[in-house]
Amino acid sequence: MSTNELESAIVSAQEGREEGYRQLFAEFSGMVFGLVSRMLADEAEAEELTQDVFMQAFAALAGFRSQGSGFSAWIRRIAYNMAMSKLRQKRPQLISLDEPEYATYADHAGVADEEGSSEEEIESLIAAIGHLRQEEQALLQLCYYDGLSMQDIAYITSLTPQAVAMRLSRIRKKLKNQLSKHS
Amino acid sequence: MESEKFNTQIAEALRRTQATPHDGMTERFMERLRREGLPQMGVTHAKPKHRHLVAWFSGVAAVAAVVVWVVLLPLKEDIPTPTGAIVQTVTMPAHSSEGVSASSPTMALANLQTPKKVYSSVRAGHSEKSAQTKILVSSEQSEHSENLVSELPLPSAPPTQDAVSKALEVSKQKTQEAEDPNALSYSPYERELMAHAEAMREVAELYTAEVVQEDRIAIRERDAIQSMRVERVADKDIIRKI
Repeated sequence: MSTNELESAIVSAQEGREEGYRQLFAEFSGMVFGLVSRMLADEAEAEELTQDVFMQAFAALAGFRSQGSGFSAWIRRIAYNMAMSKLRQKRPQLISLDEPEYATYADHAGVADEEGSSEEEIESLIAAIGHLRQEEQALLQLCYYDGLSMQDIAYITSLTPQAVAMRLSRIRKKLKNQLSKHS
Repeated sequence: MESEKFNTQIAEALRRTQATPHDGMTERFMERLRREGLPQMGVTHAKPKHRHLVAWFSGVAAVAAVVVWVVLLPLKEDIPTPTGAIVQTVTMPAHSSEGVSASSPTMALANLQTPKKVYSSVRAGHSEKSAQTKILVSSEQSEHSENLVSELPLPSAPPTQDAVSKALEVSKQKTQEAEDPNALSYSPYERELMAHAEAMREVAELYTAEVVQEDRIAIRERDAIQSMRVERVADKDIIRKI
């Protein structure tokens, strides 16, 4: 969707036209669903929350001042906040005190060739990311998958860009430590 | 270089575990949007009927909390002393209102335990008929003191000026002693009562939370029923057309 199309969709939705709502949902629901399902780890719950996010966003759309790409950061911010709020409502998850399993990488690292080793590393990385806290996974998603700038991530997560950079650095370090421990 | 490789690996790991929405999510959302309309910002989405229900439950919870505090606060001032305590054995049913046998001011004390016991027994699924609560017993001392006073002979002559002034002095000393801040430390019985009051307050809070939760569940069920009804109506239309 081009910037002009996005702006006209926003204006249309602000005027309460169904077509505007449909266009915006079709364009951004996948992105929002990706973020909230990463945080909630439950696809049914993620779809329900995605719909809630858009309901809230459309209800508040009159106050949104369209600046093209600003809409995606705005909707992500709503999604992030609602997912965090949902996570806070849930009871604390039970975390196993046993060592997480990274058998895939540990078992094959010594015997795999260069290409296979890279594949195993990714498998191992997937397992390591799965053991991060949900907000840490969300930061990774925003930075490495969505490719957003520190400024945008800071806006979405209500942190300062420095704090975002610091947290990402810690997360990377944590992942590296976990991988090296099991390699 | 290694850092870039690691970044790429993270991106690849995220890409592989990225969830994609199920087909038809847009249609499901549009249907919900048509059915519910947009929520009013800052206002609960409950329908007027439900708002009344919410208000009613909130009112009940607030009244319960006020009653707990109104009953407890006077008790703190009127805590019976070891010498003046009254014996009372109260039989309280856990689920029904029959068999409450207490008519003295200590009934208030007994009532303090009722909601908690009822609530806990309901929560635990217990079905015992009643629960007995015994409140501090020292009536023998009290009765003995009353007998001693009643057996004393009445004075034959009015008190002298000296006796009156002496009595006033003793009374003043006692008042000063009573105002001594060191004498304000709570007795174990008082502390027990205060702990009980705190526990009751927590029960009231828990009850309020449960009421709110139940209201949410009711709203969800109502929405589900409305949704099913819409589907049924749609099915009927289709059948008619066929």
